[in-house]
Amino acid sequence: MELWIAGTLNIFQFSPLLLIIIGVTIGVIFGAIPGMSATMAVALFLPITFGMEPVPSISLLVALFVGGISGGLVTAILINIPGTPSSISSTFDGYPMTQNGEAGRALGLGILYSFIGTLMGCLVLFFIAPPIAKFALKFGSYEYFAIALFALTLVAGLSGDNLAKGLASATLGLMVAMIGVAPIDGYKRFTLGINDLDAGFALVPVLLGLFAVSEMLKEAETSFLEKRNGIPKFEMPGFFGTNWAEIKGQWVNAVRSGAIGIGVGILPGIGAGTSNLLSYLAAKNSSKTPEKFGTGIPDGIIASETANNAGIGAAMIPLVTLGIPGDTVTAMLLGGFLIHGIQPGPLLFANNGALVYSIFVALLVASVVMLCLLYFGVRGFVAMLAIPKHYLLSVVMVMCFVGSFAVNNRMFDVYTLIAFGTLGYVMLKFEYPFPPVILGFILGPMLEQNLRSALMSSKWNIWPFFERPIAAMFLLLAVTYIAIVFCRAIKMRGQ
Amino acid sequence: MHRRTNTVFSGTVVLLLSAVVFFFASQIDRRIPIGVDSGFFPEIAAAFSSVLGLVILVQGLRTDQSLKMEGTGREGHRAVSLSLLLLLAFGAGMAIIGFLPAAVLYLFFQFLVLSPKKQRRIGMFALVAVASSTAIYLAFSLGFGLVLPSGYWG
Repeated sequence: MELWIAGTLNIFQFSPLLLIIIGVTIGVIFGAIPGMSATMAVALFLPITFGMEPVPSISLLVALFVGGISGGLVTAILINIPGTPSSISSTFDGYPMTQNGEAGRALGLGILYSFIGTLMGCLVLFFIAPPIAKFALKFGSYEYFAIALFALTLVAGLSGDNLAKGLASATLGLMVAMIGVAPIDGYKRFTLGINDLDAGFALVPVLLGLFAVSEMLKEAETSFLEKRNGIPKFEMPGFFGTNWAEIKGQWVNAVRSGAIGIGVGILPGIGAGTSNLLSYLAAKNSSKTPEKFGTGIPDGIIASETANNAGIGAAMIPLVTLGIPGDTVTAMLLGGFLIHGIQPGPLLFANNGALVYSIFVALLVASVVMLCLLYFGVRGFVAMLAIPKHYLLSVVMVMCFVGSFAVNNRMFDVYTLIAFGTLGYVMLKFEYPFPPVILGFILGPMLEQNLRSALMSSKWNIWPFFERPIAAMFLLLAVTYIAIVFCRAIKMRGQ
Repeated sequence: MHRRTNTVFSGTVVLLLSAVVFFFASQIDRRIPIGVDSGFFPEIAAAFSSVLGLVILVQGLRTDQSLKMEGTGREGHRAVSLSLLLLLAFGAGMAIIGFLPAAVLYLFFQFLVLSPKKQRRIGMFALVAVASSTAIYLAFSLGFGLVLPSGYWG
């Protein structure tokens, strides 16, 4: 309880509250604009947090996360283009509702259930994270290696249709992470005599290059085409376009979708891009009128938006309890923690409990801010969509350069940004997914250090990995997952 | 480009990269007697990567020769190449002439490259380039206390 009070007092001050409002606003804008995402918003603002205290900076990043995931519904409903992958299934019924003249009602429902979903995810985070962290204190090298390997396998397998390309991307991330001083014995590897490489590549320019620069280059491919945004007019009737009777009638759908979002969000690598589709399918399959799905009914929007936002709190669980990011946004949040010398993991609860509870409170406050901002300011966000992309992307590029330079105040990080931007664009052309590269880059040192420590302490005996139940379970899960994906691929090829 | 060529090429690149990493990893001094040294993990990663490269290569060879991938087109290639050149020039410009003038020039030309011909407004582009670069410069240098490059003559 003391920690809750400390966390609340930390957040209810002028600067964290202001930063949460700014963060949610910018996050919603990034989420609403197709091609931009919560990942890009957090990456772009990471360098800005350098000069801040830990609580305001983490509040800003968390708010960007909440806003970025929530903003995607605006374009999904109004113009049938999901602002982020987490709102793909919001287009299925959201856009038909717009075509039926119910755009305002669809937006209202999307906003309300995004809020409810975020609250559900937060509740799970509050109650599950502390016991997991307590349990994780017993973990050693064997467990950490197995969990990191499992996370990497899931990410690689779920980031595209081609498992081999996903795994190759993850391995590329591992290789990039190997550059510089090795863990344990401090040997300089693969630096080619370049002193700037001694500490390896910095996370921020790598992330910004892969996600922002490559996106700009991709956009450049079609820049010569005339594009118009035909945004329809809308009115939001009543209380978020709904009423108490409808809310009561939809509670099963909302709880089921929230549970799917939470379950998928906790697992590393799957994320809101998948959970919204799964919950939409679950809502359709359990409906008495499945034929109405896709024609513009509230059930579809409620399922999608509750699930994707419920994943926010859930995705924070592996990050704060084990120090393992589940997706690219939490990978960047990890970067934000590290910038301030905070190492997420089980010890975070013991050493910096007030900060952990500040994150919890920041999440709650950000979800309330998101609700109010979207409800009262949705017209403003829609107006932002009219800004031509050539202005937005170019200015974002300049901010990426500043952000990369600010990491260590050196031009080398700017060149890293350009190099990884080019690599990202090439990967796009050859259909290799990005998220495994980032996760490989972040999990690489954890994998290597724990594998080497474990093998050194067991003197090359691999049996302890299978004798310890947690390690064995995660290794088994990783192997089972690969086997399932492999069998499915063979089956599909056969068909 | 044909899907087959695309996949075969990328599989070959993965294989070559794995070979290079394995070679450099094998050159690392063996400092720890039981072998779990700094070369151990890179060797495993390179070996695993070479298997993946081989799998991708075989996938490519088994792909239908008639399948084509969505192309970028001449104008698209031109815009991508110009954007890349502008990024490189901006990077070099930051170090030589300083952040502010480099950002103004970069933004102006990037607006030109990214906008469709009918939407090109030279005056507006110049105005937005100056205004946004100055705003970013002031926000980061005064607001966040960052020291941005001032160039050789700064």
